[in-house]
Amino acid sequence: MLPSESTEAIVLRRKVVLSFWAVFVFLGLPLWFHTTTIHRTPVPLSAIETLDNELKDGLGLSRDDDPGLHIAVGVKKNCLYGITTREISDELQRLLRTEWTSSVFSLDLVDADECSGCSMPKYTLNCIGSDRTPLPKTISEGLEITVYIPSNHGSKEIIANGLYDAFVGDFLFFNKHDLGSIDRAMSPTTGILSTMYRGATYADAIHLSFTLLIALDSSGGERAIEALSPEFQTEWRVHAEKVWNTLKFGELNRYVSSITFDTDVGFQYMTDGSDEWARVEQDVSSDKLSSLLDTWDLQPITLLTTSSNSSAVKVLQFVYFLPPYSTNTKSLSFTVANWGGVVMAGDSPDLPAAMRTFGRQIDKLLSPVSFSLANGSKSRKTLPHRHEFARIATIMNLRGAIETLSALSRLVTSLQEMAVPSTVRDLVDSAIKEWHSAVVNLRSDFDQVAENQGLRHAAAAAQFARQAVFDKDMMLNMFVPFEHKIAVYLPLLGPVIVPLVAGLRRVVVESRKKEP
Amino acid sequence: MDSKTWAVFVASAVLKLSLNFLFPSLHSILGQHVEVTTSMTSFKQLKEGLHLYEIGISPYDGGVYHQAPIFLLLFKFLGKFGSTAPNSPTINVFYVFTDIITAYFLCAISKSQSLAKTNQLADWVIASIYLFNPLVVATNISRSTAVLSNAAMIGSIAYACYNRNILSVMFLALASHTNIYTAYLFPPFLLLWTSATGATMASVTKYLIFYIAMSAGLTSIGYFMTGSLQYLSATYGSLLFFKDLAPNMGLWWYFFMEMFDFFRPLFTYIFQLYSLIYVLPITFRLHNCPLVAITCIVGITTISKSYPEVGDLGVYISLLSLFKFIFPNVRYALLAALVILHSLVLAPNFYHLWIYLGSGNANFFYAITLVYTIGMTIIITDTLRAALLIEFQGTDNPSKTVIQI
Repeated sequence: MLPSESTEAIVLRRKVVLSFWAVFVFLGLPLWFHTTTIHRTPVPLSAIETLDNELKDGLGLSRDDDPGLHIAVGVKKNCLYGITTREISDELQRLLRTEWTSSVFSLDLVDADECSGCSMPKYTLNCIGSDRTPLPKTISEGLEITVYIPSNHGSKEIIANGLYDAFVGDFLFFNKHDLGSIDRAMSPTTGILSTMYRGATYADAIHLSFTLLIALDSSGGERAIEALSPEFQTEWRVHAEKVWNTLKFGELNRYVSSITFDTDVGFQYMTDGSDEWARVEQDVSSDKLSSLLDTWDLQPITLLTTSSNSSAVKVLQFVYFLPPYSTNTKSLSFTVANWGGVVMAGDSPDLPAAMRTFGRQIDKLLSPVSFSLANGSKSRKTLPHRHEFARIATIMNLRGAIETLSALSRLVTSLQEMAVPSTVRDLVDSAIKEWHSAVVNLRSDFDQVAENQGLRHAAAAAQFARQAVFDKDMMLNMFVPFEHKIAVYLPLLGPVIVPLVAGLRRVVVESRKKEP
Repeated sequence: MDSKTWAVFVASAVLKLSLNFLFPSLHSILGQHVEVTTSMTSFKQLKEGLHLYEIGISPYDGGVYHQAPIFLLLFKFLGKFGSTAPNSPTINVFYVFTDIITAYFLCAISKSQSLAKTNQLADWVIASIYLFNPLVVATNISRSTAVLSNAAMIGSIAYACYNRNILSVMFLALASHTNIYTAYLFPPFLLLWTSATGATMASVTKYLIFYIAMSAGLTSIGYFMTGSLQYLSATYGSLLFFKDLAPNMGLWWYFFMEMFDFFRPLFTYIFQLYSLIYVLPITFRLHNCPLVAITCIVGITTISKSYPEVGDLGVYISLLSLFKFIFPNVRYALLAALVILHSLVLAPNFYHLWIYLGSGNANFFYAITLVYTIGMTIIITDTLRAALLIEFQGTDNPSKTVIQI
């Protein structure tokens, strides 16, 4: 039996236990509650759902019939040159697969001259041989597409490219299909205009980088010596600046806040000129362009920053490649989507011709907006194309914004233990405000849209939505489920709680013993 | 003070001055050791803060300086007598003098009325335990500002033991201003201050108001120096919320290196609460011997504070030396001594392995800090048990036998 304690000792023990509990209850519990409470700022989920429904209903814009994603084109005999329509169609489908979702967009080619008794397709492809133009060109007038091809050089690739250019440049917009139906065509599963958009992405700033790439081999060569001369390099820069000025003071300037350019000179060392050059030609002909570009030692491009909401800079590279020696009389050129264009010099360097080619390549890369640079003349349909492009890009940004906001809404609803800071609410409110401004601009008259205001609001809405979803304070707290908290609290507080409870129990038992 | 004590003072001064003269870079080497100094007491950061202050920039803007603004005034004043470089004669003499003053205060405490009825070690022994303690010597040579905080704290105890309560409150406020954990000593100090007159509401209120007024005065010095109260976030905020995540001899840094941000505030508050929660219970339990309560709380804050140093252990051992009467009842002295010794030897080695050689990792160093904490815990619990046993048995003629069950 334990010896009896004095009253003073018991009172003292009671004070000690209660002082522990006082700190625990009056300081510890409030702090624990304050530091572990999940703060969820209410996010306007119903407003997000309303916007989603509004977009699905076409934003109050006019409706039209389906634009017809399956289009029949009659191919005239002068295009064939011994090639079948089947071959052209296969080549076209190959091009579509690289850039488009061919399952929902196809061109049915019909031999127009052999279509007796059948209903003529709406569109007709006509080909005209011309010695004056060194490269193929496509013009679409109404329902007729004309491809100008060098005489005796008709090929399935040229014709298919011509058709492809026509549709990318003109078809979808020439008939002015309304945005509601186009938006339906832009669903994530089809992705037609998203892939097109990829090739013609809206950017607030465009930077053109012109590189003179001189191939050197062990033989040296007069060509390299000429290209390295200050006069040639000055001429190079002057021509590049002309292209830049044409763009800068042209219609593209109405879309973007800045167009900049730089010129550079690079060298490509070929240890064995003839073999490597043969490989280059083979790569170009077999369309292995990315591997070719990877081998080139291009100077890095300094990206520019802009102050616009979208803050995206589209950089396009244009390379004028001087091989170590001339292998044929004509130059080669090709474009790479989202990268730029290349012109390989032929017998002798021809800077003006190269720059004209670069101009056409810029046309193609920034399509469906047609900025005519090749011959300086105004494009026939620049006004409606620019308008349509801006409106479509606006809708695409709005779609991106609402998809992101809907994802945020689902995230907030499903993860009840995820904190939602007030910054997320502010960002969502800003996104919704910009969304409404963009829709007002879409519904407004032509001039406002031409000034890109709707597009800027839509891009801002998309950006705010992205920032809201990836808010740092919210994302960091996503991965702490309730079970983990128990695993943390138990070893932290368990060893403290046990003696506290034991001490309190003893105090309570003693006080009960004293009661009569 | 007898001649032996003065001889100890002189010998320690000679030792420290010789070490500084013979090994001029020793202060720099020790200043880089995380066991000896932390970002809250580093002399190097004090110099940076002083330089910023002298050129008119707030020293608290860059996140480098976390110490009290009064140190800037002090070292700016010292700068008038010579260079404030760590190995300059002015700083050498100042730090040696501070340590001697601290030892003097300890000797004064041992001869005070509070410990008059107990068996005491000789003054020169108490002074030696402090002045020749390697941990204290290392802290002194590294020019850690903890030397000054500890001097203020021990000075406050000394004045309280001699009923010079106003001075004691001032020194405690000064010590709290430079090291906020000293504020935890306020409850046991109240017992000391009211030991002569009794703890009435009026006396408690008086000392509380005076302490708050002194603290406010020191805080206002910082306000007038920096132009705002923003420095509180850099000083007390850094200490309380563990903003500078750097390894040290404490237990905090390892947790916060690995922790999710979600739990960080909770752990910060829980860890701070852990050192605070013992203050009142210990004060109540040891209300008859407030000096023991003060020593016990100093020991607990040594292991539970956010930026501990080995100098804190040196001060704690020096305070323990005042209570010779508990030594016979201490049971695990050898075990605790060996554990502490092993941890102090291995800590710099494991830190070197981790940081400089790259052949270790943080677990090496943290394991040693755990061992160090276990050693400290053994000392604190053992001495506390011994003190309670003495209190139960009586100091002179134990009339009761305690049987361990």
